[in-house]
Amino acid sequence: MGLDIAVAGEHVKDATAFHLPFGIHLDLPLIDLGTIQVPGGTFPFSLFGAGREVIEIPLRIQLTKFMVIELAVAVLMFLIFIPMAWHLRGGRPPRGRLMTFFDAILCYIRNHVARPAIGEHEAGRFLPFLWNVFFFVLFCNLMGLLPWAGSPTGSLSVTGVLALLTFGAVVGAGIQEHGLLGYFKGLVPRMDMKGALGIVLVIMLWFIELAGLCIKHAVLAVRLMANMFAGHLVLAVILSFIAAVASMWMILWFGVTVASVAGQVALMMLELFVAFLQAYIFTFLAALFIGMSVHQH
Amino acid sequence: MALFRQVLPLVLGGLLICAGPQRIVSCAESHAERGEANVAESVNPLDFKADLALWTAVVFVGVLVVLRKFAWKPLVEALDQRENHVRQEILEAENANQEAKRLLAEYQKRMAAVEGEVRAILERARKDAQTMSEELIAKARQEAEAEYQRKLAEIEQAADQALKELTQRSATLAVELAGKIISARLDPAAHQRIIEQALGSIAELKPPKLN
Repeated sequence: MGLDIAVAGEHVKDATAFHLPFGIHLDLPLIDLGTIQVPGGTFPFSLFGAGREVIEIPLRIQLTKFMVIELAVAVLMFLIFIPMAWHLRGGRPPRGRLMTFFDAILCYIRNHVARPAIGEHEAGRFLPFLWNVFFFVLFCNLMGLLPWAGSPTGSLSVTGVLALLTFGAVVGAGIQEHGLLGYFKGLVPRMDMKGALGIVLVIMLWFIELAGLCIKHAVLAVRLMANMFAGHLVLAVILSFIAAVASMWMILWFGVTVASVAGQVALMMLELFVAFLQAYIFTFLAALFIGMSVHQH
Repeated sequence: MALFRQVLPLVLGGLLICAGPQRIVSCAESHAERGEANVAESVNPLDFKADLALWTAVVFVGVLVVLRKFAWKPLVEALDQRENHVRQEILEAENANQEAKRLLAEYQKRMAAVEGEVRAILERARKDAQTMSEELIAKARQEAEAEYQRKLAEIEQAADQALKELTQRSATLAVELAGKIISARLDPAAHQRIIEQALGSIAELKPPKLN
């Protein structure tokens, strides 16, 4: 059996089943709630079923590994932060190692990410979003280090949505602060240019700025996805070396196994670091973008 | 959270527009149909699955909405309160520290004053004690002198007395002795005269000074 990147990649990608040891495949169900029918003119469905009298929307969704893991992350966040909020109410100090650990992270994001980027007074408004992004991304990243689980953040579908929601928060914050027109006008800094050339330049700059705004958020999605995907793919490939040489000489197989496991351990530690780093970078950049749209110049 | 109430429908609507109901179904169906067959499919990290995206949006926003109410907002408040509390405590501690320093300086000043006072009192007491002892010594010396003089006078008196008695007795003895010697030739009248003469001459004698 040769080395197949696709086989290794299958363990990094989303799947419709959990592959457990001893060949156990835990297949995830297809949830079918039937179809609902809406009149043809209903927005936004009218955009697709143009001309039809009745549009059928099937409520069917195939559960996947990443969906289940995301649900687990959601439950984990509920279990950690709701009791914690209760314990810390009224400015009480944290108790216990776990709570102190999360308290330190919360305080770090508040004092060293949100406040410098957004400003002392406005930071509080965006902290829920930033905390939510950080811990959602972090827990999704860390899930990839658990056996038989995976990182939802290794999929562009997940990071893309996170980036899109961040984009929504950034633009929404800007609109809330400066008004719809004010925000989009403020994308281009005020310049002292007279005549037709000035107008042309400002219009061109406006489009460049708008493209930049979109690209920044797209890169946010790609960066997180690439980091998680690549890291896990490398782990999978190094592990698949063992399988690749399994049918060869015993001594070769033994040597490769030892080297491969050692490499796994080292890379796992790197991945642990990357999981925290990428969650931090995503949150930091989101805070920076929010700050830039709240304080445009 | 007016912000998210504005943005959320936009995002979800956008997702629906991007994905489209048909695509969601086709994705789900292809997932179900392919099953194990997709193992051989090449790994493309950029493939976008609308169902997973929609699921992620729902889960993320759901978590955000729930935790906003039950965790994030209370935590923001709690951290603000803690910060204010700590700031207040530090301010109070600084004030208390300054107050303590002021009090310390005041007490030190007072202590220095009291120390001077104490030293003056001790000095005076020492001087008093000295004068008193000197007086006592002088008085004692005086008394001793007086006692001495009195004793001396007594001794002198006693010596005087003794001498007088001795003189008297020795005169009597001498007269008796002389009478015995010359008793035959002396009448009582002459005898008496001689005694008086002898007494008179003795009385003129002064006892010698003792010192």
